[in-house]
Amino acid sequence: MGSLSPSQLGEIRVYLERHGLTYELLQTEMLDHICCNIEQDMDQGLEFEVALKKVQSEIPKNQFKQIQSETMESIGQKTKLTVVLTYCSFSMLVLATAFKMMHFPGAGQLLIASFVGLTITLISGVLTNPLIKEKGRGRVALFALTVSVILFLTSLCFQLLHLPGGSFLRILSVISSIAILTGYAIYCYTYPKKASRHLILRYVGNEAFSIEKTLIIFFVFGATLKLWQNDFISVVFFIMLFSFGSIFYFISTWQYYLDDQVKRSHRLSLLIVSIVAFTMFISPTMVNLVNVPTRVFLNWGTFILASIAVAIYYMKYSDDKQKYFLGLISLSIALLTSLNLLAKSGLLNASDHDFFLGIVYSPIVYIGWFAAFGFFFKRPVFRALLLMTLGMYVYTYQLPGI
Amino acid sequence: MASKEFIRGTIKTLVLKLLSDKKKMYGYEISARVKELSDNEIQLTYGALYPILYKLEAEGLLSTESELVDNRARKYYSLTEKGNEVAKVKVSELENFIGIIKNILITSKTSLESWAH
Repeated sequence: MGSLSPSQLGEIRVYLERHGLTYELLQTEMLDHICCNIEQDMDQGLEFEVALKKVQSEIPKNQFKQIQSETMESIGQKTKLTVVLTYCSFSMLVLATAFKMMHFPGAGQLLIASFVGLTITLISGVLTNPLIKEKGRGRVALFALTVSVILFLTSLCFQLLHLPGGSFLRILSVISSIAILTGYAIYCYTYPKKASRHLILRYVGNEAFSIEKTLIIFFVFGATLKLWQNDFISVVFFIMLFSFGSIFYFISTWQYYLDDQVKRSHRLSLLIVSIVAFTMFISPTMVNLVNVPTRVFLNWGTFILASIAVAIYYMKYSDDKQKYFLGLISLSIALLTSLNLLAKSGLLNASDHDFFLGIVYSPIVYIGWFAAFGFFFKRPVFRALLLMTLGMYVYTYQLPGI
Repeated sequence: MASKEFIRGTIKTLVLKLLSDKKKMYGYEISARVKELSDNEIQLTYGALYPILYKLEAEGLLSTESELVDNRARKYYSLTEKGNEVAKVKVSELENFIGIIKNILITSKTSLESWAH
């Protein structure tokens, strides 16, 4: 067999990475295996590019992702612990909701137990990932972000238990998450090649749909409890949706910095918009630091900014067949949210205030957005915007002060 | 090509057997050897082979070493002492099992033929 050149090896390595094979030991091994296959074909007279295409065509879709996840499962019995913990935490969350709805005692304790479970799950998930042992995977930032999320969950527990120090923990977690994520976003923008190996990007990329399913569960629980008895626990679910959702969607934007096909000027615009939107959105959770008018402006301002950005993305840059329709719906979110912000700004008289809010919070608007969410569920950017928008509009329904 | 169902249940034993015959082998070599010995009937996919290799390594049945070959790293697998013992047990279990299945197939075929007569 003849040997392949370093550039040919590099080409195969890029192919493996793009198809989700990021665990270095396995990647090295698969690289050797594919090279052997290619060399065998080349010995029979095929050119490298033809042989590579032939080998690629024989590999089923998502094969590498599947191999990686099966390999991870087989070498890390500890990951099973994470799976068990995840199920336990979510079961407690479901039980807490059911207890609250049925007015059984112990709902609050169950909720706190589920937060403690989620915290342990998070720590277990980070520490038992075999990739964490490899260098250049952004371990420090991942640990820092984990600590910040744990602080956030602890602050929620303190708030539920009415313990002192909850708001201080909240401020600490919000400020640290803004600092870490903003810094990380700039790092990914500046050093896309190094960042492409980072665990957090891989995790968010590979587990995107599972994370979104969890966010949808938070929304469904929050909305059900809100409509059922408007209880404080519904607020907890919405807070989880908004905080984890904003962090997840913020990190999801970083993958565009690694994509050579996205122009540098567009990447810069995305960086600026995402940092501003995340900071504006997450800051109002520091209720002791941010007063009501500022909170209202920051919160709804984020949605106006995000929906305009999504509208521009669809109308100007997307190849989607429904791009103009998606753009127009995004603009309608911006328009209605602007009316909402205007009504809540205190600049209008009482009748205009009620009139605008009547339009914004009318059943037809909710029905329209729910329908759009279901109809365009397969568009990730639009789905993200609508999930967060729907969450915020259900959460703030008949809620004074925001 | 042989049914995937049968292959899935026997890969572990096949890998252990091949490694007990040859001191050390790498991934491609294992799949090529299986293909050769089965007259192209059994083709181990990447997805079937590597999770098993990593699992056997995690269970302490295989040890590994890497060598640089043609500008790339190649990982060789070999049986540990424990792996050698397990290989013998697994191969003998599989042989017994194949024998039992053969008996069932022959018996049911014979009774079917006598019924036809």
